[in-house]
Amino acid sequence: MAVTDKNEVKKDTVTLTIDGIEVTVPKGTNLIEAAKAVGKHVPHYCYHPSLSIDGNCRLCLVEVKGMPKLTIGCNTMAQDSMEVFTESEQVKDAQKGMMEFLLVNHPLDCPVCDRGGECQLQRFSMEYGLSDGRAIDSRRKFPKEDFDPLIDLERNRCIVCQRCVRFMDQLGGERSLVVVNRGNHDCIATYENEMISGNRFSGNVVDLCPVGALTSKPYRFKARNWELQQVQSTCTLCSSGCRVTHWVRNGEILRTTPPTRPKNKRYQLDDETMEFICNAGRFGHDFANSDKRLMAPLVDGEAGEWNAAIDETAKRLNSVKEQHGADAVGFLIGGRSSCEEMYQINQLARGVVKTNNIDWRGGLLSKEAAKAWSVAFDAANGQLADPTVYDTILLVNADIGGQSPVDALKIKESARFGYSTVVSVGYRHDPWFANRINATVQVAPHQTAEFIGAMGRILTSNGEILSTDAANLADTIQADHKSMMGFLSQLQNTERGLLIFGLNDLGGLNAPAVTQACLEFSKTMGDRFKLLPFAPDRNARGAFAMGVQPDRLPGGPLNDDETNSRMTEAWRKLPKTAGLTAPEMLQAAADGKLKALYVLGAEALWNYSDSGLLEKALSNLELLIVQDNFPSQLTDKAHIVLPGNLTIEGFGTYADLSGYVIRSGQGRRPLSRIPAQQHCATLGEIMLAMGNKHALTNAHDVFVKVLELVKVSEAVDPDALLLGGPGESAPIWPHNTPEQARPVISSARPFSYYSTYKPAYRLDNQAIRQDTEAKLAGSKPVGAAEGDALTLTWAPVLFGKDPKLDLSPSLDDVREGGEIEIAPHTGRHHNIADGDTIVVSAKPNGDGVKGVVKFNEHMAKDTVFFAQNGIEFDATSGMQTLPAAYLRKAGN
Amino acid sequence: MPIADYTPKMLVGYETLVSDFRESLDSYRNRGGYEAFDKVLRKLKPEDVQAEVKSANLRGRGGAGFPAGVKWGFLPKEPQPGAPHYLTVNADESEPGTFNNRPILEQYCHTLLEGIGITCFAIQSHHAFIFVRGEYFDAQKNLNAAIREAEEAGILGDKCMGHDYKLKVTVHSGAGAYICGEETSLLEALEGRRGYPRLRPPFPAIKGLYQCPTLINNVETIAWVPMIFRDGVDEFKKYGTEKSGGPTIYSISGHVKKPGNYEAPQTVTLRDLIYHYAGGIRNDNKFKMCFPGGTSVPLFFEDALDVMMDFDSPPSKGSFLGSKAIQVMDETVCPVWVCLNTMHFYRHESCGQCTPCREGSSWMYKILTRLERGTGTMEDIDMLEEICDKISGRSICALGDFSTAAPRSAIKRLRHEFEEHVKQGCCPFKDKMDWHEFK
Ligand SMILES: Cc1cc2nc3c(=O)[nH]c(=O)nc-3n(C[C@H](O)[C@H](O)[C@H](O)COP(=O)(O)O)c2cc1C
Ligand code: SF4
Ligand code: SF4
Ligand code: SF4
Ligand code: FES
Repeated sequence: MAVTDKNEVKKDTVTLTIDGIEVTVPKGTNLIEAAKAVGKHVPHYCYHPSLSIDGNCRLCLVEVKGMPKLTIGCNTMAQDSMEVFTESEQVKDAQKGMMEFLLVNHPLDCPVCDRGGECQLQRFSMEYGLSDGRAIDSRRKFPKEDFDPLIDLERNRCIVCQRCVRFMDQLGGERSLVVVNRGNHDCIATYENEMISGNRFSGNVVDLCPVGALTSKPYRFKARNWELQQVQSTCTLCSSGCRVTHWVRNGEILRTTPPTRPKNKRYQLDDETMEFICNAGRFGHDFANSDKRLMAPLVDGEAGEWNAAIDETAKRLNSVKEQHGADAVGFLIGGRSSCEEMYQINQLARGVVKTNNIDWRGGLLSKEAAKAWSVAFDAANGQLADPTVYDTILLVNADIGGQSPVDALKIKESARFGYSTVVSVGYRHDPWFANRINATVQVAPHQTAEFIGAMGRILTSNGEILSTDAANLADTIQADHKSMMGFLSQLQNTERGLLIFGLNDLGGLNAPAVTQACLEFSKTMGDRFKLLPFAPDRNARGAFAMGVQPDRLPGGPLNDDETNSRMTEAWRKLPKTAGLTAPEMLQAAADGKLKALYVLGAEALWNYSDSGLLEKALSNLELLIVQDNFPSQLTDKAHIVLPGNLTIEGFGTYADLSGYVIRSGQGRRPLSRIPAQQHCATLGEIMLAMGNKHALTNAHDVFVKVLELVKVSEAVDPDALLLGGPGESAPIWPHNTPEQARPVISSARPFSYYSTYKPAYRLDNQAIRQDTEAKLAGSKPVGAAEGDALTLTWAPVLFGKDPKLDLSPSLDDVREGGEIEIAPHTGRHHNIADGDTIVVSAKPNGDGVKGVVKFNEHMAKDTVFFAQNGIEFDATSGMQTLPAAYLRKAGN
Repeated sequence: MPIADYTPKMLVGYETLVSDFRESLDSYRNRGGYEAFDKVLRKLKPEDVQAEVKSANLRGRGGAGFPAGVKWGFLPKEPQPGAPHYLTVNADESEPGTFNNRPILEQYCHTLLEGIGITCFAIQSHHAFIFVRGEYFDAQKNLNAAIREAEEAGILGDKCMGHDYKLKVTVHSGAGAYICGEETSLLEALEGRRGYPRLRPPFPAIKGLYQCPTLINNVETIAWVPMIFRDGVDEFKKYGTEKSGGPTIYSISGHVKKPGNYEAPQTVTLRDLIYHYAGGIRNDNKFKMCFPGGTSVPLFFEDALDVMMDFDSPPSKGSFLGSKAIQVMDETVCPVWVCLNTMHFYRHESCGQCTPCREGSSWMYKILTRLERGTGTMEDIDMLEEICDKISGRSICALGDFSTAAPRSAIKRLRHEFEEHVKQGCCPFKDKMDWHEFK
């Protein structure tokens, strides 16, 4: 964190001297940070820039001229003409004393401690401590307890700095860790037998712990960290798109952490990192080490040579094309693929096979939904890199909490620090998120669009909000009049708002109406609300920009002349017939019209919720080519399987929801011992084999090509991106915070993901924005359930089943989504209690889905929610098309 | 004033009764109780009350002797919207040897309540809390009964004594932690959290209970307030020194013939307290040393017997008045054992929040155990002094400093007795002390 950032000098500053060096820092900067600004390190344990100040370790004592005693640097704010000494004899004496105290009861078991080598106790003992130990008495010992499935606690090593306690409370949002006992018998603990990994962010305490008291269980005793190779990469599990460092030995990922930073000439974990990652990203890497991983191509189930497999693929694609025409071939891409891979497959489809049948939205059930996605992404102009710039963040049907944890954390932090008022509107809200933002509004799925529309009408009807209007609106969703008035006034008083709307729930059935309503709302509010469509795919914005959908090309819409001529030049003649969207392709395959399907990334079809149709479509195909690394139901059915590199093994760029692009895979060596064929190369070689002489086979070349063809903004430095590590640069987040409720959090700053680096570039929508008006006019919302039926709703959740996480046993104990959710009053109405086993069926007393009920108070009345990748969700029951559900207790 | 002429103003006789006895409202009123409160409400403005208390030189009886009127003045002049003022009465009395708040809490509840009334009016507070040490069951019971009595009589409530002033008093029980007597951890505990001292700034007068301006005073400090308004500032000041007004209550315990609470003018000397009030040393033994104000202050030795026991004189002999709890030890007592015993207390009562106090106190305890057993070394004695230096002034709250008071003062004056332990390989006093655990 650069305290002399130019943004801040404008604000009130103070000038002081530190060890005789004059420095000017913003008001409210503490002495530890001020010392950093002049290159002085004040050792400290308990202080962390993202947490409240606790002042308990007393290691940061410094001398201030005129103060009778030493004072702690963390809780002393810089003041004009202060004279601070960080290296005086008195200060050194205090540091020596404190280090000695901290070691009096420390077990000194460094040789068997996973923290060894990156332990701050080791480091500061060397730098500031005494060389001899005088503590000859017996040391305090705690019995070992099984603490948590993911995190190991070694209490004897704990220095009670309480970073973990504060993290869980302040960022994790749960007081799940506390200190128990007094004096030097105090230790951290959870309530009775609770675990902390029920919280999706708990893994971060491992990095925050300055010593080896909290360590990662899956990583326990596996390695010494200095033996490991660090691979800077990105997590591809969700659209938060966190930067990560994988720690690799002999081709095996042993742990995943937030990105390391150069410190003392080598890359190290940053004990003051403000980039936190979720447990799925941290502990979910085992799939990469799985022995199930495919290394050789399979043709008709037989493993073979690469050249032969590529020729065979080209041959079979050509033959389907010759027999049935180019439009009998379809391409589906998973949202976790890199921009380069997407570009390559797009060229294969359009430039070589010559079809527009290409899509990445395999989870959608209707072509209207696909269209809505296009309109939505076209309209995207908000960002989540820094949510604090928005005074209101309104979410509509966007399950960021359950599907994109770190983005959710950022939004929640913005609310906690009072930068943004965050309100979530929808039929179901993730409980962790819902309980930590300002408000939720429960609206049934079929009413959502209408509700947003009515909101817009009330807010634009000049002048005051009429209380009758507010009351009427409240009545439509049976909400309280007064809170509705408060909610509407908040929206009306918003100057900089962000409207995030979800696209992927209900197989996208609600997307057209909701997108339409949100776009109109933003327009009627005079663009005071920026728009951000939410889809949980890691590279959704990348896919849109790379044009892997029927209505687009790289960098622009299909029907845009400029885009068309640009891409014709690059790819020669482009196909003329309109392409099919993902749901249309599946329907066409089921109808026998589509003969060949090329799937890049099995997750493309993972969230498709009509398994009956999917089954039929796949078994009707003449040719199914799957390019993916792990066996799945899809590869079982495939005629040709082409495995390739993992994200961390190759170069690739990925865009997050805001359009910021970062790169993956900076490992020097491939992960596996047999170097994996790069997906980009496979696609290029297929194109070459099919006669396209210009195809590229190297991801770096593709990246450079993409930059030529796609408009981007904000600091493009391809050379730096290709060569270098994550760049260091000025923070984007503000560092000042409003006065807090508790004094102890007065100087903590909101968690800032982009605090230490700038992304490579930003995909720019404005430049290519087309007229999106009225494109979706007349979109109908999903129907309301009739009679006594409840409305059935579903969506995927991040911690549910997932092709990658299923191969990561570390996460077994913390998987979510295994329950059927209903609102408590719905439960009471149907005589169902929390924890009951029930059957949900499409017809009264019909067959249906059995599961355990979990009450979620943030749910609309009379709706039922499934995590579609949580419980067996029997799509053949036809429940999706008829969104009605009946509940009964199992056994009755 | 000669001590023989002094008649107690606070401890008027009930304190010798059993602990569940309490002076009734009628009895208190019969001796002029609540007249001062009525007068204040009727005639004075809050700032006048503050000025009177300032001119009476009332100093905090909780240990530090901070001028009460000055402290009251740290609160904002007017309560701001959403930030009411609170009074918190510190009745956590847990300092070893200290029991001078106890009679006020158990018998003279109405004196305290009247003091609370006047103080709250002075700081424009309408809600006072009394944070009572968990083990003081009878005190809590009696206080609650007295509050009910006062409410029924219209003294407390929506219209205190018929005036346009409302006041509510809440009794809160501690849970048995010494550290909750420290004012900011008291606030944490009162808010329902673990009793951890807070970092300062902010100070409680600006952000205290529930982040609102809060005044924290000791029980006895508050209980002297009615006298100032009933008998007048001059009368009050008569029983104190120039810089500290009013009489005070001393708790005397240890090797004296008549241990107990004694109310005296602050001009009293240590010798008077021990020999006049407490009847001298048991078996007429020789006085060796004493803690003048709880175990948190350095020891006094013979040369301090004639020091005046007000807030300002004890420092001339190297100690403090502290909680005015004098624990007397005769010639049979081993200073190492005394340090060990106090350290047992501090390492147990350290809240464990900050490094020097948490680790230092338990380390010193281990070293003192070795010394007292006779297995210590000469270096241990130096190390103890050094550890004291590394703790004091560097912890979050004063408990860290408190833990260093006994060993530091004992080693300074009686180093030879520490060394004797090393030389003899056992405690030289062990046969004189029948309670000695390392016999
Ligand atoms: C560890 C510790 C324990 C304390 N215990 C008490 C106590 O039991 N009672 C008390 O009145 N003050 C106690 N104090 C002092 C209080 O912090 C505070 O100074 C006092 O209540 C102020 O009241 P006064 O100004 O009326 O003296 C303690 C202080 C410390 C550091
Ligand atoms: S476990 Fe680690 S982070 Fe938590 S208090 Fe102990 S040392 Fe600090
Ligand atoms: S929030 Fe998403 S991108 Fe970040 S670590 Fe978790 S799964 Fe990965
Ligand atoms: S000095 Fe002791 S009691 Fe006070 S905060 Fe520190 S550990 Fe707690
Ligand atoms: S960093 Fe200041 S006390 Fe720990």
